[in-house]
Amino acid sequence: MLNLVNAISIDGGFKLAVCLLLFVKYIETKEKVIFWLSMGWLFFGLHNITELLVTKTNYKFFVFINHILFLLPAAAFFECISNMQKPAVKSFHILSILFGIFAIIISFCGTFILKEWYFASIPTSFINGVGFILCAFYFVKFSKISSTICQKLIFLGLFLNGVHNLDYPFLRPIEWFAPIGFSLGVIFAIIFGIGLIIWTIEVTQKEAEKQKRILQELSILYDIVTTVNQTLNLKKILNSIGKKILEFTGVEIIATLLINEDKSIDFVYHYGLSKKFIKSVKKVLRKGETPFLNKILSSKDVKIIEDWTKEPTILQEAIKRERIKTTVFVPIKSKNKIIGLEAIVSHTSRKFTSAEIRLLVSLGNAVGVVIENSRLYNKLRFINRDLERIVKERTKELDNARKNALKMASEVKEALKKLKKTQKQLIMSERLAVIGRMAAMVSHELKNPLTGIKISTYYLKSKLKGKDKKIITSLENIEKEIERASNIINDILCLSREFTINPSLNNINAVIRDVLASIRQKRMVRNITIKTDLDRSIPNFLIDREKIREVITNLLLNAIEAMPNGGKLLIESKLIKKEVVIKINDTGKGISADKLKRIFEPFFTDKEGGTGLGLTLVKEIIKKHNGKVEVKSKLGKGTTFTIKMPLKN
Amino acid sequence: MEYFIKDSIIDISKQYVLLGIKEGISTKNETNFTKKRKSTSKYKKIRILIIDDEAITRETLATILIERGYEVITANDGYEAIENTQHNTCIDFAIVDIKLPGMNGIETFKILKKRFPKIKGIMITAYSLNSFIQNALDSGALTCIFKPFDVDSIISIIEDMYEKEEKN
Repeated sequence: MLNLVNAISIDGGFKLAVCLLLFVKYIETKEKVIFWLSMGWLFFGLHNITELLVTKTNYKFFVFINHILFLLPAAAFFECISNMQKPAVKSFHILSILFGIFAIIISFCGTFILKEWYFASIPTSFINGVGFILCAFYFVKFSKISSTICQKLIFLGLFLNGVHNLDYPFLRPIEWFAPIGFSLGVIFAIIFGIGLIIWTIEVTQKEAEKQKRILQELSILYDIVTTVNQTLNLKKILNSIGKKILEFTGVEIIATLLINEDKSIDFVYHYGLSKKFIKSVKKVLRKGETPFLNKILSSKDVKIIEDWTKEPTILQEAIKRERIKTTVFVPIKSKNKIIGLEAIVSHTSRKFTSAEIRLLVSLGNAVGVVIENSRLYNKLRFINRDLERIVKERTKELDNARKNALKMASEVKEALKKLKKTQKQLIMSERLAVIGRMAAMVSHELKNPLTGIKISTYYLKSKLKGKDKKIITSLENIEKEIERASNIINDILCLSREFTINPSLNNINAVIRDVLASIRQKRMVRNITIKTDLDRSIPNFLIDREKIREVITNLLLNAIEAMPNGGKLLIESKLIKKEVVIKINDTGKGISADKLKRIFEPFFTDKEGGTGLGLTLVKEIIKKHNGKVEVKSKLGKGTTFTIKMPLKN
Repeated sequence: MEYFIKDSIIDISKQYVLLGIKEGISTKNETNFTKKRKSTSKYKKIRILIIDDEAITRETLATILIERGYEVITANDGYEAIENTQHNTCIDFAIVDIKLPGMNGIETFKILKKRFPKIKGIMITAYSLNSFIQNALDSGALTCIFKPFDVDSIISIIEDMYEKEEKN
């Protein structure tokens, strides 16, 4: 049964229900639009409820409240429309406030001046109707409602509601119109309500989708950041980013171009492009004829190309062949500088949503940072490698230098040693040279007077023969001394000049025996046992007989002189490994170690009347035979001289 | 040193004067001084020429040889030797010091050899160098004897030589 009270309560109940629904949504979404919609419906519903509560006693108050609540929904809807745009549209906001104030004034006037509900309601409902119709148009315009059904329902609901409010003046004059009018009001409200509910659901769904998208974007960014952080290899990074973009946008082709420090452009990464196309792109890049790319780069913003035929590129044909349609060029930025371009290419004409573009831009920025990092890392790696190489080289150099220094040090040491030796030799030879010059001069000068003395002594001896024996002995002494002096002179002379040896094949044992015989003949040996151990197997070899004779004589005389109280003299000759070794061993007084060192120095002697030249001469002669002389001695036990001469010189 | 040597030489020369040698040292101004002594030995007319700038050696050797019966001509150097022998038709033997003032002993002996082709001789020297021996032999001398020499060795050379000659 449909009477007025029932109709009004159903209408009010429905409106409050819609209000509750919208409020719940508001709590969920915190959208001001929904809040104001909910408020509108609250006023809407309360307006109906107040109608039910009117009695004769509270008539004026309730009529006033009823009128205010009748106009406030429009104000709320205007506020809602103003909040649909971001930022909120001020004109609708003002309109909403005006509506609110207007509602109060009109209601006041209607209630307290006209004193008749019906008459008071006429202007109120008229304004309300106009407001609703305006709302209907602007709501649909601003609310971005995609679904046509809810769009139509909302528009229809609001518009018809507005129109229905305009019918108020006809309610009283036409009796049958009142129930129809009320019913229409309820129906229109329901239509509006349903439309709104559908819209709210849609909005919520969209919001959820948006959230999902944002989540997806975030996850993609997160993925990329993690992948990118796992490696600093540029190729790997670009590969993983490219795959993510493909996954996210669902395009077929992706390509990355990087600007080098020298402004040249490199085609560093691509996916889904034919080899032929890449080749032609690379060719163009190599030539540096890239007006199209330069244009994009200079714009510093995302560039979407939907129709390639309008673009000024030489690759027109290739692009057509490659089926390149919608292309998004995303700048890769690092520190506000464009360092490359990411091209996202679809084979079909495709719209890219703002969310996609936003994600691509942020990806571009992320890629920029990553590429910069990678480049820095590569630079660092190169520097590091260089450094390592340099360190290695330096270490090697240092090592070599150290080795060289050590080598040089030892060489210097050796050289110093040699120098010292040479110096010593030089001093020695210098001494010898001086001696030589002096000796050469003196010898002649001395030999002449010696000759005079000798010949005179001879004369005297021949004259005084058979007379005083003492005189004869004295003369003989003179002769001996002359002989000694003459020998000294000969020694000096021998050392004084660069003597040469005249080697001939000789038997060394024969020479030794010869010397021994000569010594025995001169009766120089007293209380001395002479032993010989001569190796018969020694073949004749090249020696200067006279000089070697002198050597052996010298050594034997030295040995004999070392044993004034008698002893043993052993002379050995041996052949050891193609070397002739002659040993002369005595059991004499021996030579002290410090003297032994200097024994071969010229003029060094510990013998009374010795020239200190004998052993020097021995050494020189043996040296000329490519041999060497060694000496070992123990004080009080004796001395051994060893001569070593090679068989073949 | 030089002074000392001169002194000693003067002393020796005095001794020689005592021994009957009139001539002392020859100085640069005292050139062309010759001595001839008749030999009393069994070897007759063996004429020996002694050339040495050492006066004591020369004169003492001369004295010894003269006492042994040789005829001796002495000279201080090569030029003097040539001058002192210019009247002689024959010189049998020469004892020549290699180092002489002016012309050396070897050259002198060569010149003498030209004048007296039969001349025999020995070189004496204070320089005991093998090359001297070779040079001496090359010039036609019998040998080279180093100073201080044994008078006996010289005498034996001369005697050996003339014994052989006489035998021949």
